[in-house]
Amino acid sequence: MKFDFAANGGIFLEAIGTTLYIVAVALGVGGLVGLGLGVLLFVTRPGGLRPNAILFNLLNLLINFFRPIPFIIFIAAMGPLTLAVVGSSIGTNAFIFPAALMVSFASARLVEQSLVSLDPGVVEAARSMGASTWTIIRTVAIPEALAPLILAYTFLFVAVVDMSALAGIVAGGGLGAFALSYGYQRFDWAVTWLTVAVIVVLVQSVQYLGNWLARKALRR
Amino acid sequence: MAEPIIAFDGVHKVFEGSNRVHAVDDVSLTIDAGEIFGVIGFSGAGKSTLVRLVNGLEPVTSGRLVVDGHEVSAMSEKQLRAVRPDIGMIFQQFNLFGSKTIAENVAYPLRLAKWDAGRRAARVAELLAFVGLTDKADAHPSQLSGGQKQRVGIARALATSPKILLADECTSALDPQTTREVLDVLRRVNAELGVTIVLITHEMDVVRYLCDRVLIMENGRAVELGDVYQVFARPRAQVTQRFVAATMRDKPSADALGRLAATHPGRLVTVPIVDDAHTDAERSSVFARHGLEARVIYGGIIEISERPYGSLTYAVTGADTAVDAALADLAGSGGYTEHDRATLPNSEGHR
Repeated sequence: MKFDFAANGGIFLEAIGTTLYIVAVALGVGGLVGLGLGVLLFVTRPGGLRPNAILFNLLNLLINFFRPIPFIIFIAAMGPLTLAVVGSSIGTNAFIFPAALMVSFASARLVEQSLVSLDPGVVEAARSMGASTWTIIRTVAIPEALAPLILAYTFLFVAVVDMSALAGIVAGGGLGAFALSYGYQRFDWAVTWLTVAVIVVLVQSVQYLGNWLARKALRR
Repeated sequence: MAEPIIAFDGVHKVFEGSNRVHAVDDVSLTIDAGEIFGVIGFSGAGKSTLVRLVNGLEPVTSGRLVVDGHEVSAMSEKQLRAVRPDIGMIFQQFNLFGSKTIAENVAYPLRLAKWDAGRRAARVAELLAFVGLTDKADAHPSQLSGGQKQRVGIARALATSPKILLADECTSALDPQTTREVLDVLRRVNAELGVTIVLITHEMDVVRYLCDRVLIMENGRAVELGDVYQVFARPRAQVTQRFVAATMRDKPSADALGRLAATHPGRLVTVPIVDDAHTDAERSSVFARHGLEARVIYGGIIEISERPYGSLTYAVTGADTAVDAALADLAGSGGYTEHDRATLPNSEGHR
């Protein structure tokens, strides 16, 4: 137990900041893209609002192809693409790119599932009143599925925090790298445990917030 | 009568797929403006599909369907959207938006029609007053009973003042008391607002309480269509007879007849009570006129389209020749059915 906060505190706080930055951008961008993809899956699925077998199967294939790849391998495999898009294959932003991609695929599935579990009756009711597909998505499907969507994104937040711990692989920093470099490799268990504590508190607070919001959305 | 507002002409609807379903099979009929038109059939008969063709929720496979001057069978989804505000729809499971308040639910079609907030609020208040739910404006659907939910459904469907209201099994999830409540609202919708109602149901009771005419569907086909009273009084198709028998328990079963025969002397005669060409008085006095004693041992009379309908089963005692003469009179004034004691189960006892 020799964590020297005076010496390493700044680095620790920076690591927390980096993790929050990674999670915010990967979840923000990936979550938004995933929302779009998930809605597209919901709309184009057989029996959906605008069935389109080609688009639906293509999206399905794409998502099913990438989803099972272990994330650490995915980061490595995405190297050339990351280099082309971000301009570097190392650093925080070089990590965020593959992370956001993976979040897109994961959230697409979660959004699709939330929307599919929606009572088709309310969608039919909106159609019977003359609502367009886009209006139904915006004013009926998403509001009606809000509680499961909030829970889906809360789940995703936890998953992205988990993913962010791998940022050190491409020198992306963050709490994962900090715990390994300053804790594990220096045999400083306190540092590792402190990192664990911070992550637990972070995840617990967000889960609590998500549950609370979902309950609020359900309180009808 | 009035002009047809809906006209089916050789309409087919086929659901392709691994198990191809011919849901609507060559239906041709017209529905008049201002009438309450019932569609009855067992589940899978195609009645739900039939009404979904009217507002284009399901596209017509072939044939011609004209609704309020629009050739719905030839319109694109986008064109249909413009027509749908003129065709309201209510559902078995109400299909209210759970995330919106009652007022927001009713206002939804008005938002779609781009009404401004002031007019919207006034219209919502008017509609909620019409269905008697003014005090529920700020409640959410989950706080309402089934009957109240359906009344909100009706208010929402009427928001844009449609000429036609499609009611898809709108009382099937409700208890008899609440069903009556909702049917009374529909009756007012028709009488006070002049809305044409197309009502699907599997309950003949709903048809007899509310409808002017009824269509009986089986396997996608329109098997019988007529004035509700006529269909009850003279059901032709077998499926119609089943529906009528399920509603009207006025005719004794063979077992019941057997038990009645054992305790009542005389000949057993069932006389239909049908309010058409002949008066009831003429028929009910026929046994007395022939000096016979006739006791009612079974039967029932209900009101259909505000006219009596049913049958009575008598045990008639007296001279056989007098009974035969009375039955001959009945044969000429609406008919009768005599139950032969010899063919009844356990019919020991009197003879």
